[in-house]
Amino acid sequence: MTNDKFQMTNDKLEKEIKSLVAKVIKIPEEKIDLKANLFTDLGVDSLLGVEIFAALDQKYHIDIPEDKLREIQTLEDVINLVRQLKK
Amino acid sequence: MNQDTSAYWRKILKLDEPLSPDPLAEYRSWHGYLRSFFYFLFKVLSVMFFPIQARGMENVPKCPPFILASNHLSVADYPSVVAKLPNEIRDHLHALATKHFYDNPGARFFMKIGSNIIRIDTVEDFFPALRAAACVLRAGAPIFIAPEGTRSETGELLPFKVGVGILAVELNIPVVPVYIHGTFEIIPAGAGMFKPGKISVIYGRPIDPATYIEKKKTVQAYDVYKEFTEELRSRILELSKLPY
Repeated sequence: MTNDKFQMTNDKLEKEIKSLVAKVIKIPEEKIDLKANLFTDLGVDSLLGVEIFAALDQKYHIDIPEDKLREIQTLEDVINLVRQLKK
Repeated sequence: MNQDTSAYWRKILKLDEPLSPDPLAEYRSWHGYLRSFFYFLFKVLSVMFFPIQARGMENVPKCPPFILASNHLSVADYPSVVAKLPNEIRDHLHALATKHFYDNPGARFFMKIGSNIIRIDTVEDFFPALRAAACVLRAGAPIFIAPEGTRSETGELLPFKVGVGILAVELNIPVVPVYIHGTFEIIPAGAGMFKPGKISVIYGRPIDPATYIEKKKTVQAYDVYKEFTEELRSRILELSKLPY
């Protein structure tokens, strides 16, 4: 894959995940910063965190272990996690 | 588009995995042999110092599994809720107890006499307890939950944790709303000794999760669990307004 195509795929994934998370946590996409803490800044509790995983599981058919919930803090972490699991 | 995200929740609760041959063995202990004696003493004390009036007992299903969910005011709540229930239900009921109490040897001793206990860590990791509760319900036993997660220090009903909604909706289990009056006055959180008074326990009509299960087809699972939990809270609030 060329660098441009790789970048495009990454951007698309990032956009898709941002939109999906926004929908789950019911906050407009434009208000979600990649580096904002989901739990302290965006009011996500651990059960809503599970719902984010559930939505990702449904969309990308990836098996996300629940203990990964302790490792993610930001939307960026979520995106990186999906990238890792999609490989 | 199908919004049903419950497949992941089912995976977390291990609902599609087979049960062990005796899934309830983990919660049984020798303490159970003292249970009848414990409730006999509790009844004697209650007759003398805090008479318990129970209403709506016909709303408690005859056949488990079901969930009893009540407000939480005092350590006397659980024994008050089960005091008038048939021994068969009382002895099979499993109660969720926070690690704060469970990890205290003295409190654990009495809790295990009073009920079959599932330890729950509401702060760091409540999934093991949620899985354990799901397993107990799948094995056909009833469960007692205080969805506030802690005793109310003011007597007011606190917000509810969503766990009860997850269990009810994913396992299709009816939930009996229960309101307890009076235990806050008799022995509130932090009190060392009880005061005489009167306790009233009201069992409301069970909430059938069927409509919520249907709703999951179009609404994300978490919102459905939350909505169910809100209905439960409203129903307990309604019971709280009935004459004491």
